[in-house]
Amino acid sequence: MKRLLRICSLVIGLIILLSWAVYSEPKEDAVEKIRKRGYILWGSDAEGGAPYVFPSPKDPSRLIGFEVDLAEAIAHELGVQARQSQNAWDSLIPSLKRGDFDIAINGIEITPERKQEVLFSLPYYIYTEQLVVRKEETAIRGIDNLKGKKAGTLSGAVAQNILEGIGGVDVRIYSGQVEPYEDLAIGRIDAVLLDLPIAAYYAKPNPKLKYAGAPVGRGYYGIVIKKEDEELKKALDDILAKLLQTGELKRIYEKWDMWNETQEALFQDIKGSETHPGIEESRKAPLQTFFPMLIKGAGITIFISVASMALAVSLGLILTLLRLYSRPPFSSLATAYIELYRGTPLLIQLYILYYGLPNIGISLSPVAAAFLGLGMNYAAYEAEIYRAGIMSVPKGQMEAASSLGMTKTLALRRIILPQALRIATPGITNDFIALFKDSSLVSVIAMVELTKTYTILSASTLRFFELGLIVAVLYFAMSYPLSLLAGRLENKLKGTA
Amino acid sequence: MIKFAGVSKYFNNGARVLKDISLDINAGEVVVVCGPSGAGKSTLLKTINKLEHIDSGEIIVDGFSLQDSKTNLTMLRAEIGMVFQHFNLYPHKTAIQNIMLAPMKVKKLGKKEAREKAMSLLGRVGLSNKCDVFPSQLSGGEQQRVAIARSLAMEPKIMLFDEPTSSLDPELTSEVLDVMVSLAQSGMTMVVVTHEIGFACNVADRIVFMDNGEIVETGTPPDIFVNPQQERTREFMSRILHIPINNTPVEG
Ligand SMILES: Nc1ncnc2c1ncn2[C@@H]1O[C@H](COP(=O)(O)OP(=O)(O)O)[C@@H](O)[C@H]1O
Ligand SMILES: [Mg+2]
Repeated sequence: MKRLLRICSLVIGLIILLSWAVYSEPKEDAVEKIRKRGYILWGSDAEGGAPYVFPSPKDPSRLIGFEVDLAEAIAHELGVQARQSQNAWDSLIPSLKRGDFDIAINGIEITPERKQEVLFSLPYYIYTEQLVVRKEETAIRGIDNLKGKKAGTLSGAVAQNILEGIGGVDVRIYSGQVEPYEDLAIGRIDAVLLDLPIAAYYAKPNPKLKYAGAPVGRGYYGIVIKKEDEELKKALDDILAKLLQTGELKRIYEKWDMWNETQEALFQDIKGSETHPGIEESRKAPLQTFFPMLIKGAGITIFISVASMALAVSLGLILTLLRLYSRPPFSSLATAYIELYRGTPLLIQLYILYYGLPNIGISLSPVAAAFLGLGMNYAAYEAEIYRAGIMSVPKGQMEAASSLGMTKTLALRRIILPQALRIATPGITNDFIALFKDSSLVSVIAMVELTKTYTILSASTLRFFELGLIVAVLYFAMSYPLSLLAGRLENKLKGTA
Repeated sequence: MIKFAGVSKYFNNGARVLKDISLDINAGEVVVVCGPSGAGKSTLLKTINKLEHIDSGEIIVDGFSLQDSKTNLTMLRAEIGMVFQHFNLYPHKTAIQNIMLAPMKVKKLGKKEAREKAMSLLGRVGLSNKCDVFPSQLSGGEQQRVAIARSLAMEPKIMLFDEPTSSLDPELTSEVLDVMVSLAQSGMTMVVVTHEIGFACNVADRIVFMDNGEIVETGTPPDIFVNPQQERTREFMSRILHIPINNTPVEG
């Protein structure tokens, strides 16, 4: 009875969580809303890296970058605080559209295609594309020499269009801005074409690489705003114009070494004085500066794993009972659920929950989507473990209970399930360990847990190896005690059998 | 008390396990069912409390038809105790918890009352000192006696026994049979599947011999053991009594 109560309260908790996640606020003026709230939520991808938005090498729990400065300047003008919302770069626009944050600032180029979907502020930076090659390269002196060569760039960036427009270039698409330069340095590709700010931060300090030719192309970065937030766009345009006149923008760009003649088209010439931290500093920062962030990521990993496992064990039990003991429509639905969830990748299920459901009007918060995604997936596996447990209880147990006048429900609750759960316990513990590691998949839906923290930190510092070892140790430290527990339970079970 | 009228049963694979069974068992009667393995004895026993359903015919227990949808099956089952070959005690509960569960949950007896009753039943089967022990720590004979006490806790009018001693070592058999004998002497209606000839001869009012899903022959213990009328009965008896088939019996 106690166990049943616990399951019921879990299910109720789940429903409350869901309704909270799905609840959406009524429409009101976006500027008003931001002012009332006291902060503006701006979306960006810290994994995208420097010099846009990245963890400070001195204090990795703090984000820095020219766009952080820009967002803060804008917030200051609005009289509010700026809060960053972490999101994969590819999904910034979809997430903005579903209302996860107010604006997106992350080197997003103003293109006609994007203008169909969202509003753009006035441009805040004019970027050009810089071709980078290896130091000893002599054949490639500009983009005209790229025919027949391997050239890397970012997915969805303007540089990709330029490269594909040349024809005959073997274009390699990367999802992060570090990797193309790494591959170039070790000779996997011959050249990289990327936005100048990226080249200035990652390629310029690298002694193995050099610029090839003058920057090409020209594009504009703009702040992305939801289609319906016209007033917000107007407010942002006014603020940008003001920042431009006061020289604040130029000061920011000079700090980040991003100032060049191209920008003259936008701004007046005013000198600034601050200097920005470079990649060399990131490389040398002592490891312990990263610990607070990694520990926080680990905490989120534990939280999401425990919560989804609780959902998985209770939903799994319901599924098994429906599958084994309910009438046809329900029993076959439960079977279908189990087969479907076991037969499709968890990653796809997460994408559908987080990015797919908004298409039909259901918008889940990242936490809710991670919790439901992992929990509903593992419920299918727990259901099968319970079923095996129930099947292994001898038939005579049910017969004995029935012969004493117990109803089927009573016999299940008091006789069959307690024995089945005992048999299922080691399997469930093992699944918990697996779920724990699978929780790293929720980093694709904007959850900054341990794995995501790792990729963000290493993208700006390039310290994939050291940080990777630390993260692996953290995962192990969390999962090994569970393995020990599983082993002990298994032995205990053997002892009583 | 128990009436079979033309009962037949098939399994899913089409095999017929009970063939047109008709049998009347009176209140207070002790009936022993015997016959070769696979004859359908267990199945017959389980139809009495509807652990197995039947395909045709009718079974009436204590005036209620099992085939009547108005019959309260749970109530009726509570009146019919059943003891199994493999005891089927709940392994996760102690001896006394095994006994107390059904009275508390089905008969809604208070915990104190259920406990007192369980203690007195454990005393009756000679296991007062084992009340807080788990089944895995009991010998087979002790487990079977707890199982009998568990059935008796529901105050049944009928007790069914399905080979209650056949998985026990010989020296443990008698402690279980003793309990059964005293139960028979107290006037309980009993249907017992067993090949314990001593028990059958001493206690049974009637022996039912089954083979191949049919009742081949019924009669008093001397009728069946000493002077069987049917060839199949005679063959079976000579095998379990280890005596050669000798003189031709009087044809019936
Ligand atoms: N669930 C079942 N499905 C099909 N055949 C069964 C099933 N249970 C028992 N049988 C068959 O029915 C026959 C009678 O079984 P049973 O009543 O257990 O015999 P007995 O108790 O006399 O040994 C046997 O041939 C057995 O194989
Ligand atoms: Mg049998």
